[in-house]
Amino acid sequence: MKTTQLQKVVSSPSVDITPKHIEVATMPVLDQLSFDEVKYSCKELDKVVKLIEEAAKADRKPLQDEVKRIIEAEKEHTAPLIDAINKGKANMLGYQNELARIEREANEKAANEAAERLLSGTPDQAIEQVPQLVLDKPTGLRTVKKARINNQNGFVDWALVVETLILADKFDPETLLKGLPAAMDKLNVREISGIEVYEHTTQTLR
Amino acid sequence: MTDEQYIYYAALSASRIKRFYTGDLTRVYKALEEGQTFHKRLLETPPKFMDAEAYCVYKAIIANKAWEAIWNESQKEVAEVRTLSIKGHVVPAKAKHDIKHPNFIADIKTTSCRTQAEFAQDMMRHYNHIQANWFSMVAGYDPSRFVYIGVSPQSRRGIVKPEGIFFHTHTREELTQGLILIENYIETQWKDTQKYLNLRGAI
Repeated sequence: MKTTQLQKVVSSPSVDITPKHIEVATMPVLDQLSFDEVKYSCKELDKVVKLIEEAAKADRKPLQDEVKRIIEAEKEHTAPLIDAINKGKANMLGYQNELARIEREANEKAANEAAERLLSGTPDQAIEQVPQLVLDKPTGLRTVKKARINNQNGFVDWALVVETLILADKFDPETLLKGLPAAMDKLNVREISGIEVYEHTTQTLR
Repeated sequence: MTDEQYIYYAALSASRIKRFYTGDLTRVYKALEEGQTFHKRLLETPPKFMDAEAYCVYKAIIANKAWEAIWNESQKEVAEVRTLSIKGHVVPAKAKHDIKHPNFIADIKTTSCRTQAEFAQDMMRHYNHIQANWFSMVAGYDPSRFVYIGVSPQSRRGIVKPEGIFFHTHTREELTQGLILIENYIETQWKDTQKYLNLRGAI
């Protein structure tokens, strides 16, 4: 593997001095002088990191171009096939959905007819059998249960949604907590029981 | 009548006659037990307290307006006894109707069948035309007024699917065959059955 740029950078004088900067950057910060020294070394190390990253990026570029070219060639050959498969699957699903629709409607009709016949007359009077529909059997369908918001049924009971997830141990609090501090600020909500709003600080080298 | 009182009540049941033709059913005991539990969850539990599976089946049945009215108007899990005269024998008979409406009887069947046609075949394979006749005789209804409500796997996945519920009645020919099987059982097995029932002390 060619790593020309990377080799050039890692053997350059700017990288030679990094052990010294590593030593200084990891020193304890005890006063303003040591703070400035650590900050300076961190900045220098950051420059070296960027140099190495850029060199590695430059070395990766031809490889990535080659990978991109292979992927494009692969797509050129597979795209029409995948497209045909997807069209075929869509048509098959369309047919099976149509069967399901016919079955749904026939069942509805059968249920109505059954009810109508059974409700008519008296218990001891004979009735005709409800005709049954025979359809092709759906095959190869993979069905998974999913949930989505359907406002036709009224407002979403979010409290029950969250409670259900929590009780089933399938609740990911991070999803809800991510935007919570900003939302609390916006609505002027000072506190929520069980939630700690805290300041998370990181050091920058500006 | 409690479940226990019904089970031990000394009268002939459809399941005893069916067993004579189907043989020992202990191999499907788990499925039978699951079916019984499901009946309790669906028929003996108010909708508000049903579990998700039973509630979805209930919602799928009542999705049809006529069946919603029927569900509300009918009695559930009705145990009934009657003395029948079959082939010259006086036969104490019992049946427990899942749903008893003034005009008909409905029986809930949990099934692994995925289509109405499969379900119709399955009912015959399990000799349920005997049950249709027997239940109707005990209730004093015409056997054509016995309907199955088939509860298929797709209706038990916790999603309301009315198409997963099958309403099925036997043909007149099937009912005649069922009646012949009952009469044959009484003609050939009644003595033994009577001894068994006498042991239980009722007749």
